[in-house]
Amino acid sequence: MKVTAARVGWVVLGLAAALVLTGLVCLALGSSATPLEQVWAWLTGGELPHSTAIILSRFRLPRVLMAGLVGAALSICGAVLQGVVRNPLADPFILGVSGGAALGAVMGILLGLSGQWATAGLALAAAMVTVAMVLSLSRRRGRMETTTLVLTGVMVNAFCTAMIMFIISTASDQKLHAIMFWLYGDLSGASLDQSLLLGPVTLISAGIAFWLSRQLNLLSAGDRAAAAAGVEVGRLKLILLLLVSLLTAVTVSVSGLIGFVGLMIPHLTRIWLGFDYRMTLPAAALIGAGFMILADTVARTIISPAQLPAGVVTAALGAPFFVLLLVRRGNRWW
Amino acid sequence: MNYQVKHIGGGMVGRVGALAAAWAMVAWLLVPGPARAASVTDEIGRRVEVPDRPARIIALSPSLTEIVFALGLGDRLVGVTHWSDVPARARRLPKVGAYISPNLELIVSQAPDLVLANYEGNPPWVVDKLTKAGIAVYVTRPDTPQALPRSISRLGRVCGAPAAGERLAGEMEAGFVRIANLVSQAEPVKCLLLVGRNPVVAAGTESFHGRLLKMAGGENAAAGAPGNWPRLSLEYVVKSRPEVIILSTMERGAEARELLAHWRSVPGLDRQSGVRIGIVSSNLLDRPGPRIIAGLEALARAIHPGLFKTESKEQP
Repeated sequence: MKVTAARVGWVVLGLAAALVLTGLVCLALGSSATPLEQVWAWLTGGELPHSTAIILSRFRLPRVLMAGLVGAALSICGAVLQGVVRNPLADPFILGVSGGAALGAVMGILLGLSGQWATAGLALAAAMVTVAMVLSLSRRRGRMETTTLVLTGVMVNAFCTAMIMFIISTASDQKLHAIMFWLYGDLSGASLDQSLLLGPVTLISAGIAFWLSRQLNLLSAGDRAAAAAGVEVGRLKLILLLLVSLLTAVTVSVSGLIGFVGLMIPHLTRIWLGFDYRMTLPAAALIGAGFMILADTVARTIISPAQLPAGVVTAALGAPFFVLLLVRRGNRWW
Repeated sequence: MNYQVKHIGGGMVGRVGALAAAWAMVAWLLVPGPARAASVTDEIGRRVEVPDRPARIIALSPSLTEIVFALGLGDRLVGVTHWSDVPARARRLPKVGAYISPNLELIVSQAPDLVLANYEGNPPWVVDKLTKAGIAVYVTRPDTPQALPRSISRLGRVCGAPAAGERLAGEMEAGFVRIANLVSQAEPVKCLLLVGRNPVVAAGTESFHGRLLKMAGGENAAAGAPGNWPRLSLEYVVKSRPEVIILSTMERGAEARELLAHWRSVPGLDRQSGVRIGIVSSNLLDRPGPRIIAGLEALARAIHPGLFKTESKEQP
């Protein structure tokens, strides 16, 4: 599939329109559905019952925004990482980010830290420490060995998981609930402040990744081929890895571990739109945002008045759909 | 004929009632808030503006629901959480989610003028978000059974029923004193209060349940294990040589017998060992509300059955 600026433009425009539509529809859905006219009236500053206005502005909008940002961020990270380590199983958590962030958050919950930033801050700090560890451990004489990188990440995650299990086995029931919700990924605590943090970080990271997408194309053909084409492989890898680690860490610190989005959406995008990163990156971000908004809407409505962690829905919805796509493609596409 | 008149009359009353309700709704929407409100400090130190007589209360835990009913304010409840089953009337109230993940949208759509939350069970962000949405949220934090009566009398004042709150607190204090007097007639008995079977989870000395156990005349054999809810090995259970093992569970009938048989099958805990094993309904122990007195008494009975013999003859 030939990628031209015009084609990318049209696809992005179409996907963005679909995303906005999805967002509006999901704003209307909740424990009790709000008619779309009311959502429209609210957006255009019309008259609304007080409680409906509160529900839309205080509860639904922050969640929809956050879900979109989390979906976009994780999809970008997954797409970049799959290219850098050249492994279809790579997801945003492969560098030890998830283990570190989870350990930090669980310790925050255990210490009874209150306030929305305390736990998130600890998760972010711990994630950055583990990533720095993984990256420095897998550098050999100035070179980044992909296999070593992936294996180190897996080991760091395993170690963190063991620590978490140790903490869980000594935690009280109430704290256990909070920990479990965080480990499955949950957006019910989403606030506009968090979106104000995640939004710029996502946008800037996406911009940098898109700017590097031509070099990323060369890199995904292999280190040697990329070097032959004039890419400074070591430096490019380091920049991209630092970029996605930071983005994943910030995302995870506010949303918990929402799995599967970062693994599935990039593949889905490639199946539909091809392998060129100039197309894959923006498209995956938009598709990921839409998918995550849908998944979180299912999470907050399907067993209403109770709610599911969003991470449960992403895997439950995404896995069968993705397998279906794979089967129809005859398993030959990566 | 007579029947028909009655029928029409009933319809009229119903329609007038509906109209009145509609006007009440309109009036409520026009008036931004109750005219008079008092500023109170809740149990985690937050300032809360509470209306003098809250008319639409939501309780975010089964125990808070029980307390509101015990204060005689059950008909002001417009929302409760799952498993709010005491009293039976509470089952029919609108549900606003589980207490570990209450549904904010449902809470707001009930237009409450007071939400009662629990520090331990409800996630902190629920309190934050409701407060930012302009809803009065009063957070309770009864860490110990001894603190519960005062906590309930404060709730009585907050909910606009100070006399009922004082009375309830007085009754509970009296219940504590009665049981304390009773169990003081005997030496403390070494026992374990187990809340889980696989893994074996015991109530530690500092936990709410552990404190109840002590008040009921028990000496906690899990004191040597770390944490509020230590997971014990079977070896520890047997080696700590408890005289009484109390199983806190919801199981009844065949399941309860099976649970007892399971513990009797553990080497060292069979009937010949002399260890007594009893069941106390977890429903009585897990909810920091007025029924905690009944839970305490059930524990005391399991630990010191001898002290209750004369009493049980008087009131079978």
